[in-house]
Amino acid sequence: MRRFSFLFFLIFIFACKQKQDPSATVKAENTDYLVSLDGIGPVKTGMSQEELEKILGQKIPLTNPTDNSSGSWMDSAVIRYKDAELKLSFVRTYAYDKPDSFHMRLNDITTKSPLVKTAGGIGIGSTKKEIVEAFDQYRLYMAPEFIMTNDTTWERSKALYSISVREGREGPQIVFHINLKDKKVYSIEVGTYYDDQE
Amino acid sequence: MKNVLLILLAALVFTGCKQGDKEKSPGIKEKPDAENTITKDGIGNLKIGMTKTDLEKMLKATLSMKHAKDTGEIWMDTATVQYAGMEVELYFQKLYSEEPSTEMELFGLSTKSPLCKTTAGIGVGDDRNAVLTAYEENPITMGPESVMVNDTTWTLSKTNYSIHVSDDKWDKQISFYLINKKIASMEAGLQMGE
Repeated sequence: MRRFSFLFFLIFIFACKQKQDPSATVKAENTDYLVSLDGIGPVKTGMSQEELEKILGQKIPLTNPTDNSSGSWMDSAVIRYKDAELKLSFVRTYAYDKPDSFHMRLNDITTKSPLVKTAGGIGIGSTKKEIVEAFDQYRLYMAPEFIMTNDTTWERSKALYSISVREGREGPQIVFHINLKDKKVYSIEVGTYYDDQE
Repeated sequence: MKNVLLILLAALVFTGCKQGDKEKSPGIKEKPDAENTITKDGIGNLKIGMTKTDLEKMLKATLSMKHAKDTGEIWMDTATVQYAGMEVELYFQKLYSEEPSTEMELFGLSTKSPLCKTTAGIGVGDDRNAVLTAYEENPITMGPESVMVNDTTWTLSKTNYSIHVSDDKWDKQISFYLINKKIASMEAGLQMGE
């Protein structure tokens, strides 16, 4: 009888462990789509194209990899990361020691996927008020976005608004793009802000 | 007699409803007097860019500068004045375009007076949401203030918060300084690099 009790106890412990595993998986999935000042999930700004390809286990199809004529130093790619679509923007980073040697470095990431959320749950569909409250201890830069009305003129949009969240005046940032029609976030961008007016 | 009573009762109910409406509409603010209105250009007739001499002439008073007796070479100074029932702090800087450069120019001013309001009626005691609602079309920079913990360390304040509202001229701005989530003071000033 004692042996049976011990066996029952072991089965009980095993069952409990089994029950914990799904929640651990959910947590891992949440981290996969977690947006922070550094990036989205494992996709971090500053990573090289090679690093990213290794982490994601897929080739990143740059849009203009053979362009030699325009002298372009930027490129972009749209990738499928798990169930989310991410737009990646790269810039050339030149080596100090080798002439004409460079690698492509991830500059910013943009997504419209509702799976992507901050640790506080801010994501696609969130409101301006929710962002302001969630980032109470951050510096926020908010304004209607600029739109180009013709070749030489820019003006503030009546329909598009953005909130940039940073820790300092310059540096990593999360930009929430808001549609003023429904006043909700429709796109999230993670990148870096440099003040080029200095 | 019955009719008179009925009319009186209806009038009382109507007045009561109107009062209730007023209390339920915190968004509707009374328009302040021009002298008590803060804009990015100044407060009332106290305008950014005025010289100390202009201000003294307008206020019919000699401004008492805080560092008037400082024998060192100073290029900034402050003075406090009573204006339209408000205590207003004036910030001056030396006008170097003048020859010799002795003239001081107003580059900012602030007040903690509850009499002072923006054109939308925002003033001391209002919260962050009131400012954000009033300036939906303006560029806004906001966040907790930095406080110095010791000679080398700065940290973000848990109580003090500031909101800076500018426009696309990027020349001047209105700043709201909040303590424990309520506006404690307001400032108009030239927009300078951080």
